[in-house]
Amino acid sequence: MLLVGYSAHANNPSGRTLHRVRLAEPPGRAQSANRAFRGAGIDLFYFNRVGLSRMVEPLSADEAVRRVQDFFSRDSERRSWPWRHWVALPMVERAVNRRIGGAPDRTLPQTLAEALPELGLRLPAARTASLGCGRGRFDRDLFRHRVVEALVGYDLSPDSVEAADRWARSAGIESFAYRQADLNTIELEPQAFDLVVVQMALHHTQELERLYETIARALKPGGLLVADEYVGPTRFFWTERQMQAVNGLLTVLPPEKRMTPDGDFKPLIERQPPSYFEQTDPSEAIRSREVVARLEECFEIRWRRPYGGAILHPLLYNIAWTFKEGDPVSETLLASAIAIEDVLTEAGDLDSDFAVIIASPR
Amino acid sequence: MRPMFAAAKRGSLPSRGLGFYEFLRLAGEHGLAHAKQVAGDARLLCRNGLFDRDWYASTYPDVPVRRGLSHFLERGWRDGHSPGPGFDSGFYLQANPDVAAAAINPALHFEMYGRNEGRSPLPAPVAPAPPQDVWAPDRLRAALAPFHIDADAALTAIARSEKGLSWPVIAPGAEVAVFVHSAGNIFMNEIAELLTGALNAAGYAARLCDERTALHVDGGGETCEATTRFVVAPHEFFCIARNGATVPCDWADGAILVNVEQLHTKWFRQGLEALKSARAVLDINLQSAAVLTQFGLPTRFLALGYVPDFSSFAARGRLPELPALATLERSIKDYCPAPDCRLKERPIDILFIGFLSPRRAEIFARMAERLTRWRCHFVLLDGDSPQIRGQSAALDTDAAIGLAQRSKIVLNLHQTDEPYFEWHRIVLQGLWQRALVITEPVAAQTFFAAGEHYLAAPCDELVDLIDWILGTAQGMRVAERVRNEAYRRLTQEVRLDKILFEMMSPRASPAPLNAEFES
Repeated sequence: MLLVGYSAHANNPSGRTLHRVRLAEPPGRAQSANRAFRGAGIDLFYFNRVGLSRMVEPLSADEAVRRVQDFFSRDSERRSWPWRHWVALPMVERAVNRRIGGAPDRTLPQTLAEALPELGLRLPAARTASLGCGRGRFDRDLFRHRVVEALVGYDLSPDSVEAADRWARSAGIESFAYRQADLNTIELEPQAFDLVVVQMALHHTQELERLYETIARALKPGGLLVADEYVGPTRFFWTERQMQAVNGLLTVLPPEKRMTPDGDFKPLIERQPPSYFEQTDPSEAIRSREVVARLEECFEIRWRRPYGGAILHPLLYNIAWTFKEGDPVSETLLASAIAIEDVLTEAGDLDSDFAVIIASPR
Repeated sequence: MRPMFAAAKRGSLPSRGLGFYEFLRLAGEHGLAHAKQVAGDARLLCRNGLFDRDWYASTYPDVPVRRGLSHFLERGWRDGHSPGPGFDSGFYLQANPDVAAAAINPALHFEMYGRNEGRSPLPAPVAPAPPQDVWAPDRLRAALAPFHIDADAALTAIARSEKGLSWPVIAPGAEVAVFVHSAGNIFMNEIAELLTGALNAAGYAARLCDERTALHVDGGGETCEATTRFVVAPHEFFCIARNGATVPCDWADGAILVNVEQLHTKWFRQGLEALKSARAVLDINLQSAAVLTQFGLPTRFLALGYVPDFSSFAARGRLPELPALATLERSIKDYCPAPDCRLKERPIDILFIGFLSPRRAEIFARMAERLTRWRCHFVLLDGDSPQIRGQSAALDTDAAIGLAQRSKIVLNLHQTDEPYFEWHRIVLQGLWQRALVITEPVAAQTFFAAGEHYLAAPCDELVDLIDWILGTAQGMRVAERVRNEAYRRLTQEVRLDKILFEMMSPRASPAPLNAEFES
């Protein structure tokens, strides 16, 4: 059975009849149903092809690790094209730069290159650990801006570790090494690092308290932790206000701006059931809302720059590529979305879902 | 005669139900109620022409013609009969187990319910399977994919195919002719010149020819029947007409064809028939060569390496006046820095020459704002069409090579999502001219490696890498190290003359005659 249950949606921003439809396998049929509903002017919510039978089965720890590794191995080498993520868009990047560094052209590594010495760290940091390094993009950026010199990167995914290592060498960097490690169980040599950097990895960590203690021990006296993180709703349990804003914007987008690179029509956002995460990346946003609170228990936050994302991140996911640089319609729509996020965040109506933090152990 | 009667007499009127006499027969034999029931069913069955009297009579000849309809309704359907060519009882019951379980007349069920429910009265016609295109781009892409990440696997595939293969050999000093179409792309001509130069350096007597020799027309010179023939870019040589005549594909028989096109393109497809006729195929792309061997063509990889004293790539002191150079200052046009001078003395920061595909356009648009920091010279050709010398060409070899000799970085972006190692741009324009090559991820190679001979980064990171190389002393040191190592590797270890000699020389067997082949 393709369509399992319907219900009218109460918070319908467009005034149209919206149906909640759960789409089971196979994806091909789900896509065609999606297209058919779109043709009828109906917006769809759907649980991304989640098998309903899996919804109640808890995952074992080993299975969860395997699925996380599998998820990140499927990430293609050239995932950067077509762009899927909000920060891949130059206009968004400039807005983020402005929010973090005060100027649209000042990138995060440039901002850090100024901020870290003011907090007492000599750059380039002689020895750095990069936790949850993924494919090492942030590490290479930091190297190019003379923030780091020798660096050891750790990631759970063997594919990411291999790619990070290869990309560092391919880009002419010879002072990096990469190792496989789970941030929930990682052991770091005490007082070994001048700097620990974490980008978009704390929100994948279940054992936050243990990890923070490990980092605090691994830092040399005067050493600093830099975290660039998603700190928004745990398991993407969007706030009502957030869904209202994002879905309102999605509804007014021209249809061609809502197409994913895979040819699907991007559905309105909704809160996903646990099975969604089990099927995709079980570590996704696992305790993201607690990232800062737990950090403050053993670190002193010395510098903090929230940079929004409550609207732009869910809005643009998978459709960023449709916003072409230099296209007036794209730029107008993007500028509006950025302005709405600025205004609602400023007014306290929305939280900032992303932040850069520099902290030192208490 | 009234039209209806006339139609009835011709037998072309659709049956409207039981005939009067048949109704009377049924009433007499089984009672009026039964006759009425059958008559009602008959009307239903005839309403949309499902019952065909003539078809029924010819299909089931043991049934009297006049009783066909009542026979079907009373017992024919139980025997598995169909009412006409428009309904297959057996299929309907098989496809609809609920009907079979109810043990009712399937044709009546279809008329009463099935038609409205969208059930099918006949099996779907089996479409004849389309002839499978062995050389379909998707199949070629799928075959390429594993080799893109594993160069050794590509070499192994080629080596495996060599067993039992009769590969052409050329005796030392033998005459060799390298053909390229005179109205083809300038880059093909460049490759043909390079090949000719390498063959001469390898000790053969090579000369450059064009289609006139093959067509025996004006100025074509002597024939070359006793000469080993190489044909560069068969997709042009056998397809571009000269005065209305093209070189026939069977002319490729006995020749060695050099494929330079990416396998998924229309250009490769265009040259395919000639490639199939060839004595042997050389492909300038490692992965393509491996795939062609898998698809049954006798193919080897031809690394377009260095040829000492190759005059076309000598330092270009003055650049020609061509559209692609119109924006260049006179001072840059008229002065070529020494090949071994430091990169920072080269006036152009970034050079790109290539067709502006939609993919490249998107990536350039995204990089544009950041690239404005640097002196870029991009020759973006606005169509996927050949650059023909003296006609449409925005630039020529002199211009392209001269630009590369004045550039710090030669940038490489893929035209499509296929990560081909664009040998011509990366090696001939880049490494050979001692520029630093920066590319997005490319297929693995055996001769050159990322980080050692060129730099690579995902395409959204390229501009960061460029900023670092051009904007920092540390980056510039890396650039110098990499481009010098690349040049050393190319000139010392990737020599096209040696590669050709090893590939074409007679091995342990006695030296064969000119243009003979190993068995």
